[in-house]
Amino acid sequence: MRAEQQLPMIGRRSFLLPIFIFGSLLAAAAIINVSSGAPEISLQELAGIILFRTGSELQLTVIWEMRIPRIILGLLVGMMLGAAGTLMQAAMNNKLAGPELLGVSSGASLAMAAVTVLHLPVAVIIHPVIALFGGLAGGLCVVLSARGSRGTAGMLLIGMSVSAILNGLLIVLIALATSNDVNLLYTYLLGSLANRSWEHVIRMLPWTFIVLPIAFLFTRTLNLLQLGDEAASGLGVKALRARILILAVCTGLVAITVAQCGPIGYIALIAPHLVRSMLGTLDTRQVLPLAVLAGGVLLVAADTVARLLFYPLEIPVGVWTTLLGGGLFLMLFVKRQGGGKNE
Amino acid sequence: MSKWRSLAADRGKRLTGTVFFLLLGIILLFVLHIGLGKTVLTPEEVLRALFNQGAEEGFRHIVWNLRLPRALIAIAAGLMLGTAGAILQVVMRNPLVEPGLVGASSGAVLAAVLWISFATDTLVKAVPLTFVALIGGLGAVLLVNALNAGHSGNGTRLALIGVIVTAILQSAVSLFLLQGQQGLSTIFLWTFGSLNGRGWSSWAVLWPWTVLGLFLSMVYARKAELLQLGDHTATGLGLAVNRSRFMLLIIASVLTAASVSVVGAIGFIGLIGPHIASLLVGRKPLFLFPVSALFSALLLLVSDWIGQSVTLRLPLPGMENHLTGLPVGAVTTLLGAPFFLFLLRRSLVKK
Repeated sequence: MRAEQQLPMIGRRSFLLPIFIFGSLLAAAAIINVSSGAPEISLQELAGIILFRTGSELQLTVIWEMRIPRIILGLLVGMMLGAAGTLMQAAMNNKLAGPELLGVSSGASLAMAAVTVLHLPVAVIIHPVIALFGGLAGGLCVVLSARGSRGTAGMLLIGMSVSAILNGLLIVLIALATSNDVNLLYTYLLGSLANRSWEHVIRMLPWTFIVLPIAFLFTRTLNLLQLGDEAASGLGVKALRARILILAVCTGLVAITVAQCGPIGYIALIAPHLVRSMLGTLDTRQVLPLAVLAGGVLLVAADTVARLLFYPLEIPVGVWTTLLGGGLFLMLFVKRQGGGKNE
Repeated sequence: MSKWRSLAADRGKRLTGTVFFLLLGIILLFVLHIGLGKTVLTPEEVLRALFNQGAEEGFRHIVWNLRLPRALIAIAAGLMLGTAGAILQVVMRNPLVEPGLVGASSGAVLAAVLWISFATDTLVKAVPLTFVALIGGLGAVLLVNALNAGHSGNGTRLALIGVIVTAILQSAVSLFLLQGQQGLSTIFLWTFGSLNGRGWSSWAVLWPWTVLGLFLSMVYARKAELLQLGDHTATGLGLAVNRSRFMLLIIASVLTAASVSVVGAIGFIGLIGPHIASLLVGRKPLFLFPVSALFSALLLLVSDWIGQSVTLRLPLPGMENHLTGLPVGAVTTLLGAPFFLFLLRRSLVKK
């Protein structure tokens, strides 16, 4: 009932404030990320380099060929993760759902690891497709094993144990690999944005432009699904079919990001929460675009932390997102169940 | 009354039989396990080398200095994790619990890693690693328990919180190991648990704790039995419920921390043991603890044996030369996680 009442209201709180907050956060994170490191670049120099292409050869290369593509890739990945999280949470009517908890991420990374370790002859451009199949298989395992069970916690636990199995297989693969592959694989498996270039961005872009708009097609269906299965089917939505379709789109979004930079956890989970509590609405039409933005901002910010906190040593960004996002998730979970809103 | 007595006698007989077969299995696998490696030894050669009955000097060296300690450590770690799992399941009255799932292992690992990375040399020498690991493990268990406060009847909720806390602690471990620029083998050792390269020095650290922990768990088995009856009944029977529960948690943490500080966080071993044991000899802790311990030891030996045979024998094109051993934790996860899934489904779907 609550959701229904909220649906027609466009914006209980202003749209502009969150956009402003996210935008300035993004700008701050990006500027810090671009200017810090070796060589250090002052703000004036930075403006010159970006706007007028002045500055030394080294500075130009570092900024344009290394730091900017990294930020753009982070932004794209974060956006897709934010969309995936929103879709998943709305479709399953479970505010704690996320790709890392439902076997999708680990399935995709297992597929990618198999490609790396077994040296399968696969073109780089096809990698997202391989990851997609892996992710679909992982998600399918979870959905099938969860059949007939009830409750939020149960579903998540099943997802986690399937993830554990997939991770076990992953370790077997790693143990079989040569040590060169293993080092490569490990930073990849933690989720990292290091050493990315325009090449990665270009590889990512077409997928983003295809899949991300598809996500926006589902906003109406998602709103109806949030009312519960019975209400949704009363309003003409084939609940099961819609849900499977949406989850497939989700898996696509996640798989593409995994293929480019490994499983980066908890961004997809946190972004929609942040946006929902800022807007004070469940309406997916409003939540989705902002969650996309929020995901991008969060990932760029986390990447800045990952790159600079222990400078010159870089900790993969996936470690940070799990640390911070996992803690936040725990808080949400405990609070939610404590409030007795669940079930 | 006589019926009860005969039932008890039955139980006793079953216990003897079960223990006998488990011991037999452990001895058998022990010999097989020692025989397996780059140089494969026949059981006869293993026995000869073990008992100094005219074996080749090279074999004797391999068996005594390389493989025997590894097998012994596997058995000791299995015994400890199996007992810890049984204790946790009884104390928390939750079939979905094991040291790796309530944060005990990962807490211990985090504390150990922090200690190794940041403590000064004199401090490291003064305080044994196991104590530090114990504090970490106990802290994590208490944290998970505190987060689940007020929902103690809800088993899945506890398990979920435990899993998430474990994930967070694990990524903290990765963080500190990466920050200390440790190699991958170290990270794998800590987060998945491995027996690769364990020798007599590790055994020397481990065995006193094994003896102490197992002894304490048997001493407290009777109190655990009373706890099983429920808090009210146990209090009525004169048990200091909270103190006993806390003591049992400490014992489980000691067992976990000691094994973790030697072999890393081997997952899911403490989950299967207690369930099989309760099928075999019932849920009475006095029987459950030792049988669970023996079964887990057997399971860990089997897992390590499987892990070694996989990396030694599986022919994959282009990677005949690699030397990485499969960490035993991967095998136990592959065995244990489906089992966990099965238990989970059973508890979820029935409701």
